[in-house]
Amino acid sequence: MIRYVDGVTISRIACALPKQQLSISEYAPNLFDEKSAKRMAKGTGFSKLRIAPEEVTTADLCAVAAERVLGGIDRSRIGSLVFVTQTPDYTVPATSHVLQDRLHLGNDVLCLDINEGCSGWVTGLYTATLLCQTTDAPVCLLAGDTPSKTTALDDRATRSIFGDAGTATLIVPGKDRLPFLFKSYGERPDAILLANYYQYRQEPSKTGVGSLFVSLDGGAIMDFSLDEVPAAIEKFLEAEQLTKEDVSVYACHQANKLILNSLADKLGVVREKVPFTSGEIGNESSASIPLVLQAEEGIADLSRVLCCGFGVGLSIGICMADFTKTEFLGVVEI
Amino acid sequence: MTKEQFLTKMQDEVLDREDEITMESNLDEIEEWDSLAFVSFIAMANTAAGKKVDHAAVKNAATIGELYAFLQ
Repeated sequence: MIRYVDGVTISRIACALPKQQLSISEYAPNLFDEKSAKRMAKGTGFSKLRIAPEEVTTADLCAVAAERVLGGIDRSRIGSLVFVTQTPDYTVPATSHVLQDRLHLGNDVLCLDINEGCSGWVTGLYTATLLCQTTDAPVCLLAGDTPSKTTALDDRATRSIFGDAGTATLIVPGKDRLPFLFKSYGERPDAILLANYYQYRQEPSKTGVGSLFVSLDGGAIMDFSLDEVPAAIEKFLEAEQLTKEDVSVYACHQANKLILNSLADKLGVVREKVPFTSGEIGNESSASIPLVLQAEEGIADLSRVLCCGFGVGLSIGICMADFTKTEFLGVVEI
Repeated sequence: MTKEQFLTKMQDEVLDREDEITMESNLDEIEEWDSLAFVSFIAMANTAAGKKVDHAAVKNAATIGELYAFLQ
């Protein structure tokens, strides 16, 4: 099902990254020596990871990016704040409330935390554009994660790919019409899983349900990335009566380089059209698509961008937009 | 995919290894046959041969030749 939102504009995008950049042998010397780190990085494409200090949270990164997109804006006009993350500062209350106060948005704001990861920016964009449309007021969409805080110190799979990042996107009333497609495959939660405290309390375990660390099944994610994801992209293009060549850039979730290259091959599009730009950041969960767009700004044609988030859920979020009028405000390092 | 093409792809892309492999090579003796190579093999099977392979069976394979059989 294609869903449309009319009367909006993606006005501004800003990103924030931790200053600290580590190779995986520096980050996880207990798991990788220089040789094995080099081999792993060649495969995943992640030669360095951005890792936030213990005291820096996802909300901190997103707040810094938000300050950029809110610059010069009358903050009392912001009607809604959407915060997409799986690493909130708090489980209770929703961290978006704390951010509303921190960003001086006033009290007439709908605050919403959305628990979504790899596909989360697209989910957040759909929600934010709908809120913008119904209220005729600007919406601040924050998306990011600090997955480094959820990885087990002895897990090669997660300690070699995840990086921390935060982003902010400002949606304002405008003239664009955005098409969206969402897919959910909730029968496969184990592909990427992080249990809750009560599950841990019932049955503590080292991985999977009952573990307090994130676990991932690389094989299951690869299957998903090469079957359901290209099928969803093809369905979206068909519904929109577009060919694969009509898309100027496929701004995809930065799962890893092997997945993105394989996805491009499976789709039958040149790899350059599915850019992997996070080699010195890491897999940034819901922050990935704004970071790809930021990296490609001024380089690629951003007039017909297909954004595709895919992963944890498992889930897929696709939308198509023209970013040529969007103001890209850069990457702030903290 | 011919056997020769498969061996080249396995050596250069999946295993990223300099020493030559044969269909008889034991996976236990190949240092590069790790979790990364496993995922890379699944990707190669899907994109180059259009096959969705059984993960458990791949993990139980003993030789390079057994991996080739999954692509048939």
